Amino acid sequence: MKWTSYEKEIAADDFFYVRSCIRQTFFPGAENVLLNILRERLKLTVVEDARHTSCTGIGYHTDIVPLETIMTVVARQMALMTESGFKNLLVSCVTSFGIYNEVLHLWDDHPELETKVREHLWRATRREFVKPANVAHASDVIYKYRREIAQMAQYKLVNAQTGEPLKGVDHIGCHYAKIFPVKGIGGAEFPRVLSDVVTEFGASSVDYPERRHCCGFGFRQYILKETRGYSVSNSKIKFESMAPYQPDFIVANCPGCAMFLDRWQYTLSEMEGKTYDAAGRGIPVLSHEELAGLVLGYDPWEIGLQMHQVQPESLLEKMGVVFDPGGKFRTRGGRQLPRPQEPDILLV
Amino acid sequence: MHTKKIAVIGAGPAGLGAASVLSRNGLRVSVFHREAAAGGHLNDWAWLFPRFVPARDVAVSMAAETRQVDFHPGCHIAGVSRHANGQFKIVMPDGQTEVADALVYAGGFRVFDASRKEELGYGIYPRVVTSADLEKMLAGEVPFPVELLQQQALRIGVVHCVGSRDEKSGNRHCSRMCCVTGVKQSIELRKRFPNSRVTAFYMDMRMFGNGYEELYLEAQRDWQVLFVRGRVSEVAESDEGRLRVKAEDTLLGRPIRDEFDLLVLMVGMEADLPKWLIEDLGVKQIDAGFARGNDELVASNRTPTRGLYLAGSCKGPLSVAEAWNDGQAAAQQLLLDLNR
Amino acid sequence: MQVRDLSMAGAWGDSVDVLKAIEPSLVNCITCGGCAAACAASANVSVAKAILLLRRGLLADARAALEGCLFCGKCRFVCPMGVNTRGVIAALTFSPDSSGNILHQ
Repeated sequence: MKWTSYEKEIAADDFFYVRSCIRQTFFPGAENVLLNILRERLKLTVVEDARHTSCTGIGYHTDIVPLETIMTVVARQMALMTESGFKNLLVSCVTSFGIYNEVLHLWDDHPELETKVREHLWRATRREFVKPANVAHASDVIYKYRREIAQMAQYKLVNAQTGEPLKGVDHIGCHYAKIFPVKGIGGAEFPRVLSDVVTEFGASSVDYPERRHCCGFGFRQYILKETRGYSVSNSKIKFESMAPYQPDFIVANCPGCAMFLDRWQYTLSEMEGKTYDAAGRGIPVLSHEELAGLVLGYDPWEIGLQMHQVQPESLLEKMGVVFDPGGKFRTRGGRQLPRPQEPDILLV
Repeated sequence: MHTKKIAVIGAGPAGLGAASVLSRNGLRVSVFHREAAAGGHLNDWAWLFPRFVPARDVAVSMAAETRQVDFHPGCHIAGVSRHANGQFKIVMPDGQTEVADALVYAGGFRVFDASRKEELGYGIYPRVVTSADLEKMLAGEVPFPVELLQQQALRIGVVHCVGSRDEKSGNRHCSRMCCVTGVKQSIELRKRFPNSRVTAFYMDMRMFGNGYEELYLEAQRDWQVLFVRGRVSEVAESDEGRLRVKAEDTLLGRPIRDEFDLLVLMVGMEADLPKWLIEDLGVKQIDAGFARGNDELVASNRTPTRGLYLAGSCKGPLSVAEAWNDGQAAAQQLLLDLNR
Repeated sequence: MQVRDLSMAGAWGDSVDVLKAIEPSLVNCITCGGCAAACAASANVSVAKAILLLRRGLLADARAALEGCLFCGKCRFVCPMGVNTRGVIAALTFSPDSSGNILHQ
C-alpha cells in the first residue's frame, strides 16, 4: 500500500452540511460551535437545508431500514445539496460518513442500483441529484485547518501552571476509517486525523495499546438491552488501556463514541466503584470541534460542555480557561436551571 | 367631529371591521391593503361554513359597511416608524409616506405551505391538493384533475392538521378553522361527486362554533363521511397513479393502508408579521409567532405602544366572524382611548 | 402487527345502510366509550367499538365486540348522544348477510 493512500483530499470551502442525530440530541452545542468556527473564524461557506433528514444509518445497521430505503434517503440528501448548488458534502456524523461512502461505493460497483434509486427518488419526491465531488467528515475539516485554528488560539492544550503539554488520547470512530481506510486520514492503522490536531494545539498524543479498538457503541451491542454489557466491556477495555498514561482528556470524532466513552464512565463507576483518573472526576471526553472551540476561547457553557456526563472543569482548570462557574446551568434568557443530581463515585 | 387620522393596515375581515367603525365615527381613515381587492382570504374561498354562504357576498357586504375611506390597494407597506410626538409614519412601497395619529394592524395570517410536509406529496403528485386549492376548484376557478371527473367510484381522502399541532413544522398551535373546513369540504365533495366516498383522517375534531357540531354530524349521517382518528404518515403513488396512504387507526389500534384518487390537505394558519411591527413598533409575539396584545382576556387589541392596536388573525387563527368582530372591537378600543 | 387495507367497500355502505334502517340513532355515536365504562356484563363489551368497527366495514369484529352482552340497557342511560344502544345490539344480532337480507344468526 502506498503512503499516499493514507492521505485524502479534503475540500477547502463551499460545503453542504448534514447534521448528526446523536449530536443534535445529546450535545447540540458541538454542532453549533463547528458551524461557528467554520463560518465566523475560518470564513468558509457552509450551507444547510432544514429539509434534510436522518441518514437512517442506525436503523440500517440494526436491520430496521432496508438497503433500498437508505440509498433513497441518501439520494435525497444529495438532491438537496444539488438544489442548493453545492458539490462538497460535509458530514457531522461518523455513522453518516460511513453510510454516504458505502452508498457511493455501492453505486460505483453496481450502477444499476444507482439507476434504480434515481427512479425511486424521482417517484417519491420529484428530485434529482449530482453525486458529491467531495465527502468530508467534520473532523477532516478541523484537521485541514488545524494550523489556522492554532494560530488564532487563545489557549493551548498545555498545563497553564507547569507549561507541560497535556496528554490527550484519541479515539477514531470505526466507520470513519475502518470501512474505507482510504477515506480517512491515516487510514485504520495510522489514525492521524485527531492526534495531529491535538499536537497542533499543544498537547501530546498518547498512542495507547487499544487505540484502534471499538469504543463499544456498536449498534448491535447497545441497541439490545440484553447485549448492552458487550458495549460497556468494550469501553472498559479502552479505559483500562489508556488509564496508565493518565490522560487529561479523550478526543473522539464520532458522535456515538463521544457519547458512550462519556456515559459509560459513569456506568463503570457505579458498577465497579472506580474511575479511570486519579482525582475521581473521570476523563473528560470532547469532540474535535469542542476541543477547537475551547482553544479558540469559546465559553465552555456556550459549547455545551455541561451536557457531558464527565464534567469538563478538571480540564478547564488545567488549561487555565477563564470561565463563569455560575453560568453552567443558566439559560440564554438568564434563568437558572436546577442543578442535576450528582453521583457519589464519579465526582463533579 | 374628530379630525384625527387613522391608518388601518390590511383589508381582510378584521381590517374592514375596524375601518367600518372608525369611518362611521367620522375619523379620517386610510386603509392599506397588499392585494388589489379588499376581502383578504375571503377572496380565496368559495363558500363559508357552517351555512355555505358565498364568501364573495360576505366580502362585499363587509366592504359596504365602511363609509368614506382612503383605500390604497396593492400597497405592501415597506415600514412603519413612530415619532416622538406619537404619530406613525407609514412608508409605502413606492417610497411615499403618510402620517397617522393611530394605527390598527390587521395584517392577518399566512396559509401553511404544504410542500414543507414532503411526506404528504404536495407539489409532487398533482392529485394531492390543499384545502385552499380545493376552494378554487369548487368555485370553478381551477379545474379538478380531468381524470377525476371521469371516475365512477371516487375515493377522496381528507387530511387534517397539516402544518398545525406539528412540532416538526414549527407549529405547535391549533389553527382552529381547518376542522370545520374539512367537514364543510367533505360535504361539498360528496355533493359534487355523488358516487364518491370521503375518508377524513383527524387527530381531534374541534367543533367550537355555532352550527359546527351539527355540520360534523350531518357529514357522517347524511353524507357518509368516514372519520378515522390517526395521522397520515406517508403518501406515495401507485402504479395506477392513485395515492397510497399509510396511517394508523388509533381508535382501533391498527395500522392501515388505503388508496385514494384525490387527497385534500387541511393546511393551517401561520403567523405572518412584518419585521417592522416587531422591531420598530415593539409588538411582542406568542410562541406560535402571532402578535400578542396586552393580555388575552380584556386588552387583546391593545399593545404597549400607544396608538397601536392589533386586530384579527395576526394574533392567532380566527374565523371570518371572529376576525370581523375583533376588528370592530379594536376600533372601539381606539375610540375609547381617543375620547379619554 | 397485521396491516389492514381499509376498504370502503363495506364501510358506511351495504351492511351499515341496512343496520341504519333498523336503528337510525347509531350514526350519532361519537365513540366516547361511556357505554363500555358503564357495562355491567364484561370489561370487553363495547357498543362504541362495535359501531366503530361497523363503520370500518368489519361486521364480524363488530359482533365480537358485543359478545357477553346481557342486554340490560345500562349503556343506553349513559349515552350522551342518545344512541339506542339496545337497538344497535339487536340490529347486529339480526344482522344482514352479504346480499343485504336480514337473517337470524
